[in-house]
Amino acid sequence: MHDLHFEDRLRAAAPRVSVPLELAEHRKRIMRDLRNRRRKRSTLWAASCAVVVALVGGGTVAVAGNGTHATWNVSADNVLIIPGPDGQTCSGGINIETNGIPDDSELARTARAIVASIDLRKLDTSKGEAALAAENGKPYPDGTPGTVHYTPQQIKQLAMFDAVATILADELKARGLQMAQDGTEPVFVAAQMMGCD
Amino acid sequence: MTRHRRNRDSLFDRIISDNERDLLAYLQRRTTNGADAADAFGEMLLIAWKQRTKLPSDPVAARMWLFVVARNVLQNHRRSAIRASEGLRRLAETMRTLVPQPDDADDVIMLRAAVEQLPAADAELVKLVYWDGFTSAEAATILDLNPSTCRSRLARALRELRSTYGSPESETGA
Repeated sequence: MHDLHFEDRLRAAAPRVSVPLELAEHRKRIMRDLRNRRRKRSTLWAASCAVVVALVGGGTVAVAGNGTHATWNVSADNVLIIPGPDGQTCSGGINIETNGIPDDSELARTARAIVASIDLRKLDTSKGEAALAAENGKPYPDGTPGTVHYTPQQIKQLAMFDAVATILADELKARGLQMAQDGTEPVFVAAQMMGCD
Repeated sequence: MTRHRRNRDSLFDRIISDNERDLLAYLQRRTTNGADAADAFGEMLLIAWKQRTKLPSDPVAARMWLFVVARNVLQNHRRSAIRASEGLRRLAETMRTLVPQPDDADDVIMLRAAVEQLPAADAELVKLVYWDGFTSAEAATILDLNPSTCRSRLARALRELRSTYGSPESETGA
């Protein structure tokens, strides 16, 4: 067998693939999702410390606060329950997570105590909500094509997380502790939410 | 929005658009089903978007860069929150419903199996050149190898394949 013939056969042995004709449309949808998610995230990072929010899949959820275990096997330092879309309840747990420092370090323990002491129901988020609402309809500041669109539920959630993050950073600072050190966040607020989108 | 950022994002969209079909095909050839390929494609988009400041402006170099990202995605089995993307879910559904290709002839299946039996690094090199259509120099870039090393490995892999597959010995011109 001539070698070129063998190479042709090798090329012909490539697994057959089917690429959708409308791949470009799929890609644009995926990119839109990515950019919207990034926009939500960047809003949270605009607060004085980092907040990471994970949305949990469908179904119902019960969350217990102050370190007790929730039915979905997470401990929450505080619990957020607010009205969600379509009459459902938006609920979730807010936790302090550590990054490169011991989980029982003074900074982590203090941050947890601060978050646990916040009465989320009494938080005044009106200023933050108004600021976020004012962004609706405006172009994304980072150049992403399209305009900002927050649902009322998203505005409530984002304003709540911003408020928690701001309180935490201020309280830590007042106690002589720092959220950010050398460009990193050794502790940050993480929230697992369900029924909110 | 700055002109620099606008240009960068425009470059990203153009380069992705030019290469997306080859990228998805590359991922399909290395995953077990269309949904997994869609999943990897979404992850590749996410990582490429996050790192788009590193995207070379030269189209060929940018293409190589994207395939390196895709290769890294396949090597890293962890998938991020991109899985929750509605757009990705729709692509995975589309991939599942694509009309299956007819079965290949036995000799093609045997040759494909022979490629899979090569050492993993050699098999990937053969796939890049003969299945994905890269030159050996381009494959060297994707695999972060010296081009001459890449050529010698490719020749070795072809010798091994011919030996396994029972073909007469001869030199490659690849």
